Amino acid sequence: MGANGVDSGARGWLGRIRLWAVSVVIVSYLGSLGYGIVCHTLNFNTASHPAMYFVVWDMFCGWSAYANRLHIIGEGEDGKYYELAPGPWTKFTPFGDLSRHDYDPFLNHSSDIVRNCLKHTRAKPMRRLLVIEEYWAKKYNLPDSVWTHFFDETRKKYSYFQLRQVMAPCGTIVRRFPSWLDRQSQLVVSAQPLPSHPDSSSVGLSSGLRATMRPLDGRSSGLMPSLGGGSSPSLFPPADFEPERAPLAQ
Amino acid sequence: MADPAPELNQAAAEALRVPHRGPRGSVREFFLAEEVPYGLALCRMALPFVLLYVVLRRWGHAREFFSTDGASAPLADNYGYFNMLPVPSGTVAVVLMTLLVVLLVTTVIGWRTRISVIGCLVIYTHLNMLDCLSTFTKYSVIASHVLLLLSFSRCGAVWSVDAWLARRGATPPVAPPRFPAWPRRLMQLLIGLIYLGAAITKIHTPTFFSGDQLRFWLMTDVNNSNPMGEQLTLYPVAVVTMAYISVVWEILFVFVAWRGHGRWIMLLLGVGFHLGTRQTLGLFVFPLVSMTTYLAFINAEDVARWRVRLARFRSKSDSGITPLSPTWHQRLALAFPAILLVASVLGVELEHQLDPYGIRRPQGAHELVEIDPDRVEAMLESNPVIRPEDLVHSLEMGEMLVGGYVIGHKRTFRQGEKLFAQCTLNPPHPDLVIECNLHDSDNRLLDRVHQVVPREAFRANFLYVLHDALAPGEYALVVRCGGQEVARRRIVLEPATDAVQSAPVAN
Repeated sequence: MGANGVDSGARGWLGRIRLWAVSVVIVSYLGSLGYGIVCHTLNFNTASHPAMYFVVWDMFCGWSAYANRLHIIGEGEDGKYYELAPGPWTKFTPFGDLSRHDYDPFLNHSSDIVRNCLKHTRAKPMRRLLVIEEYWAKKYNLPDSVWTHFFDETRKKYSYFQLRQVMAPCGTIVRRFPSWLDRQSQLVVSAQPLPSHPDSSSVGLSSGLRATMRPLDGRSSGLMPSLGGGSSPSLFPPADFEPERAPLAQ
Repeated sequence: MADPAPELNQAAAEALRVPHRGPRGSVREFFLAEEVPYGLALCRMALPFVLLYVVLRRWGHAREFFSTDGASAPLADNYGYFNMLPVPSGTVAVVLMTLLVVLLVTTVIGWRTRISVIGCLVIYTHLNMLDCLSTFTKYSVIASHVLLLLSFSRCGAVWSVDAWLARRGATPPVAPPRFPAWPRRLMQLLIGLIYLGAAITKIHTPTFFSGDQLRFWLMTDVNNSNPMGEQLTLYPVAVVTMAYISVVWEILFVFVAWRGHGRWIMLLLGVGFHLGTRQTLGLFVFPLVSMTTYLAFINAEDVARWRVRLARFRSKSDSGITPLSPTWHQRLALAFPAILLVASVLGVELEHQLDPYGIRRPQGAHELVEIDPDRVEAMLESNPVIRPEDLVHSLEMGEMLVGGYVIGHKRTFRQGEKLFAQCTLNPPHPDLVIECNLHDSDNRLLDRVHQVVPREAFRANFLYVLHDALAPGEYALVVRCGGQEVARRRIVLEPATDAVQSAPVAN
């Protein structure tokens, strides 16, 4: 075998190696994409590892009828309340008008945000830090031209607040609460009162910290509310129901 | 499914030497046929432009978002994998962001292309995964995929500084170089599978097809402003129609977008879809990133055709290519790391001068902003009960129902006409009794109609036949919920156009 033969043999061998390597890359890549599609379709293992975020394409997961914002505030030892997010040094809004902390619906990173704010400001000593959620119906976001198609009344925006998280001054999470919207979803399927939140005294918290929980403690927050209609215990009393007449509408 | 332009190299052709080219041969031809990487070169030039917008906006916040001197928000934490990726110090984060900016620029111009693309891939993906709040989104994921595939490719072989230098080297190529098509094919499959996955998501969401959730999506302000989306909520039938079209398109894309008319139809629908999300949902970057992958569908034949068309606008130049001296090649080779080094140092210095936290200001670090006590008091007031008026999203009146929605919106009717009233509800809501009552101009109750709306329903429909027992004049439809008035719409009833009309009292 001459030198040319050796060269061509080596080239062929390298070519086959390269072909195999390319095949492995193609199969691995398409296999991972395919695995993501299958997992997503069968709703299996979609959140098992951060890498799944790279192969699961769940761009539309449903949107709520309510807009929400997060308020991260601190109660100083001077009795005043301070805004802890966004930090006083920034006006950055990543995707629209909302601040960065508003994109943390599970509150996994709120304590880091708070610590960073306290670290880089001349903050007064804090007594406790609170994460409060604000919700309002999205219809109040509509421009006037659309609103007038739906209602004759002037809009009266109303916000619902819910305490979501209580943190110690160091940023350690002390208590968590479900979101207001989750709670509403539970209420609508429950004719019975939902278990109320654990009593503050049972978790051994300071009286000062308990004071921050007054929205949820000492109140029958799980009870089905009465929305008027006198003394009827039901949400929508049958008092208005008169004997049926021939209706004009159906 | 192969384009006509690519040709097979010798090894691939040998591999294909079989009596009948079966599925295996077709697959090999699909992935291994050689071509000039024009499509990927276009991707290489377009994507970094989009990413530069994203990165430059965050450059000044690198310390806050991506470092231990800030509030990084690693994606892995959300999955329970704490400390999965190292979080750099503040200075290192600034250096990485600065390098990313420079590497994106060198990727655009195709200088040291492979190193640039790999650098972009590693730094961009790593930093993104450290900030899942304000940086990492699905468009980041798509961009990382594209950068990964570009790093496998020879996208810098044409339309780049590297190609320019190669033509001025000792042995300039006589023709544009050709490479196996598989990185481009994988990019095409990537976007096709992304759309397929997105379609599966929508199929998993039943209220997507009823238009209910999509309507609320159009109202969202989580993204950028989307005034057209808000106006579109007035036309839910159009929204539902577009929802169906988008899902059909998403499913068909991966099967049809390969050649012929199907390719152009799918791509043009895609451009329309993505530009539509810009207008209706306020998505800015996602459409641009997605559409850059469409450039992978451009093949050498398209480029040849466009070149012919553009040739008449170009003056012919007969000047030969002058090779650069080896000294210049050496200098340019050294210039690349030198620029990275200088940019890093300048970036750190600039960030120091900018003082993002304001801690080196003459007046010292910022003070916290005090909140109005009344505002805090309102926040701390628990209000777990939804007001009845917030259960109702809208009250619409029109001529008929199509697809479960009222169309032909109007508030002036004639005797004998039908009035469809639709009360849309905000989920979640309990099982409700909704009344839609007719009042006269003196607010006297003329008729009371109620309907039970179960918790899973989003709409209550009422049909009024405006018979001639109702005198022409002004009336009002009043919606009551929980014994409380929650919405009122004024209507005007005009005399019937024909003289006498026999209308039933009710139906």
